[in-house]
Amino acid sequence: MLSIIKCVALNGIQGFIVDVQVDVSNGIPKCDIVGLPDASIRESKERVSTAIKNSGFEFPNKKIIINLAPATVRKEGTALDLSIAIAIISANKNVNVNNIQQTLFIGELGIDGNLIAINGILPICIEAKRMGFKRAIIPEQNCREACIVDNIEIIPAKSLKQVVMFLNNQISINPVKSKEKSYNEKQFLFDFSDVKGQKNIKRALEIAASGGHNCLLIGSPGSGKTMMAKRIQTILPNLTFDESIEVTKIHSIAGKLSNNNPLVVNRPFVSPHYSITKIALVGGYKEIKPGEISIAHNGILFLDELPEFDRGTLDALRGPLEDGKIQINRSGMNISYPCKFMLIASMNPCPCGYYGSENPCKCNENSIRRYLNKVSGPLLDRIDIQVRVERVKYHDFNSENEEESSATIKERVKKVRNIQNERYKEEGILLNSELNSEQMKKYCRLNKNCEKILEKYFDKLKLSARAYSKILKVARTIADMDSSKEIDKTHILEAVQYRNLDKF
Amino acid sequence: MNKKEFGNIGETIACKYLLSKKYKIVERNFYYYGGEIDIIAYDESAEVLIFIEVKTRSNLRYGLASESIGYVKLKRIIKGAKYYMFLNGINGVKIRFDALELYYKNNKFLINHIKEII
Repeated sequence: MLSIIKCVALNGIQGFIVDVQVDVSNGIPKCDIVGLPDASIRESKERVSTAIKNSGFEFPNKKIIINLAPATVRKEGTALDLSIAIAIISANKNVNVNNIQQTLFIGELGIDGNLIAINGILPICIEAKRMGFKRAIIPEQNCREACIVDNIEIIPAKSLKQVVMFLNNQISINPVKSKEKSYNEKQFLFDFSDVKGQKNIKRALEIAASGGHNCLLIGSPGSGKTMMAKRIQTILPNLTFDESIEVTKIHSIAGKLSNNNPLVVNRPFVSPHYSITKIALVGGYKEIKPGEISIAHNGILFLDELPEFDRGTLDALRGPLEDGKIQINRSGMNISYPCKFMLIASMNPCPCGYYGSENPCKCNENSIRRYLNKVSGPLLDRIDIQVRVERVKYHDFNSENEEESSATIKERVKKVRNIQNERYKEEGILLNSELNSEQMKKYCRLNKNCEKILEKYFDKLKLSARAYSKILKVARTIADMDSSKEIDKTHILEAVQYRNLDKF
Repeated sequence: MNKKEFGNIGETIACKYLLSKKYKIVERNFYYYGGEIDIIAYDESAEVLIFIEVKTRSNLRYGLASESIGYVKLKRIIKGAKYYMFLNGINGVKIRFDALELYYKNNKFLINHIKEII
């Protein structure tokens, strides 16, 4: 007896249809799974057979062949358990075949027959909708996440027995209604008004946030680099719904979602420790998981103590920083994850930390060079804004002056971002930092005066072509903050100032 | 009485038991290169061909009879079953593998029939 059930499996965040084909025939009893399953799917025959028995159905003691077509693509994860179980039960004629059409079965089975939540339910449901499934039967714990998708009937189930009874019209399960978008945004425990003084750094960070520029903070210990970097997330505007779905998809695959927090609303802020490996940062490993840079998609990747990171790890960021996506190739698979993040990094200028500050530096030239060499030039070149953070002055520190709160800065950032979104509506980009060379010619035109200034700096500091375009982009953002149509002399001059490391 | 005789007695008693259960005995002690299948029976009502491994024990000092049927033994039984079907041109028949445990106690044999061991 043959039975075929269609299911959706994931390749990165793209889905593809998997035919679960089950044939039950006479012969020496055995159960084999073919079609490039990974270890977790190969084990699923033991889970499925026990779950079927423990749910009170007959597991045929016959020759069972399970094929996962297309057999050339590797499949992984436990999400196919339920499909395999239903296919075996329907091959045994224990289920109403008419009810199986256009239905997606997703879920892991425990050997007691209960359904267990899986990772990546949101992208699976979105892809299933695209491929024309009418309804999806999923584990109950996953339904809050899945009900974000509309136009597909989401049916939560507790156990295999419940699913079969539902298909046989013995019981009815109410589909989950897609919830009103009442997802709470996170309340931050900290605010930019906690930072005393440091006006210039705040300005730099505001520019970075407005245009989505990468930013490097260099300064002596205790000057507040980390403190300010952590507060950037409080001034970024919330994700739009589409962005939010995109981010949630990645978080769903990475298993970072909880039931209380099914949709990512705030921009993600990822700050990995410097012991992180290359694979953990960019993604990969055996079953290709999104790395930290993809988790930080549409948000911030904060690398504290930049030179302490492995050099190779940092250099792996070069491509993704430019492309906004990462292509991971492993045996027989290539998967691409989006990773359009804002890189915020902080570092000391030398091993003792006081080089160039009011305190005397104890380091010799060699050790400083060795320290700075840990961060490669190509990476620094890709960082638009590089600023020195100075020691906080005593009177700033103890003053009673009210500092600007995050909410006010956030409003301004939102306004500037709106200007950019409006201007780039037809270009398919959102922010100044995403401009390519063609678009820069169109939107970052300079007048004679500005060109002359830039030329002088370009020759004096021996800037790279990339540094030149980065300066232009930052100048564009500063002009937008001034609500000015054209880039002015002052904008260029300010933008040039933010290329601090070029002077080293 | 040596071990082989004791085992043969067990198999004879197993056959009587199977006959009482309306099974047909097709073959006893089917030898092949690599092993032996103790009993091959046929259940007419369910139309199943059954390959049976009989284990007889006089004491439990070395564990239960069913415990001694391990992975290798199962592989051998499957190999023998395939060979038997090939020899006799049997195809497309329902197949079952059973084990019969016999325990000798107080001049009596206790029989435990385990179905579908694979």
